[in-house]
Amino acid sequence: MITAGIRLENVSNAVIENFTSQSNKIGIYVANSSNISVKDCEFLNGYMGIYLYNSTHTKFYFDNFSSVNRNSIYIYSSKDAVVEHNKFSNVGVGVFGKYSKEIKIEKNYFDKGEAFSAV
Amino acid sequence: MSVENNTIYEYKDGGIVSRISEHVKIVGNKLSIREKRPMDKWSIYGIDLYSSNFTIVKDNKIVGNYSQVNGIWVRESENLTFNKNYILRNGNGMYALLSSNISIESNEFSFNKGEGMNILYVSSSIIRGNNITHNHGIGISLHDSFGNVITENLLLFNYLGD
Repeated sequence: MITAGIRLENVSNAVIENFTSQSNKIGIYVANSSNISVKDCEFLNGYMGIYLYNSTHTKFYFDNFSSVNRNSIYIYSSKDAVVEHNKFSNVGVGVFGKYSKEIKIEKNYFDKGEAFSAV
Repeated sequence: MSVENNTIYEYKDGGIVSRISEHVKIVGNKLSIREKRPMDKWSIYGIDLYSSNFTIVKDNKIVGNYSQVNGIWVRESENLTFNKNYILRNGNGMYALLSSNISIESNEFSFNKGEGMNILYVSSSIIRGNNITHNHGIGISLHDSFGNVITENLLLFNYLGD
């Protein structure tokens, strides 16, 4: 069981807005889902901001990640994810993509931390 | 996968890292280390490609403030394009190792503390139309490599030392 502030599994067409995650192990966990947007959210401290697993058509924008220990956004085995206009400060990695396709990372601001890592 | 038009400051290891990946586009990003850090204590790379094939790196600006080991660090990769990037004030501008089919065209490698470009065990590549100036080491250093073309580059005021 993944512990997270918000968990979405087998969900389609959802928007998460104006949410603050502070010191959760994972802020938002999204699995086997599609058409998910996360907008104007804040992720402070914690191990991971957003963990996206096996999902499609997702968008993360105008979010703020600060002092997240490991990956601010971890995109695993997913397709068609857009990450834009976010701010990442003092994080481990901004965006980590693994076994994923069609990820777009545009117009973000990264300060202190690795911006993008893909495997 | 694309990484475009991002602003990236004060990264700790690599600014943009691509490992065991294909068809990654890295375009129009600004990477900069503003805070002075000792290069022998921090292993920082602007763009780090390892086993990253069919990768395009274009229109990026990588400024290391002499705190970054390599502006661009390439290992064991094939079919890469580097075009119109500005790589300034790093250790080496670019360090490429054990790779092939690399196109390095119309880039600027200047004011780096080591070599402008350091190329080892690289084959079937072209280095064309680059401005490589004011590097403290050698402009283009090629070792143990074969089948490469170096043409129409501007090399000025390199190998000046400290």
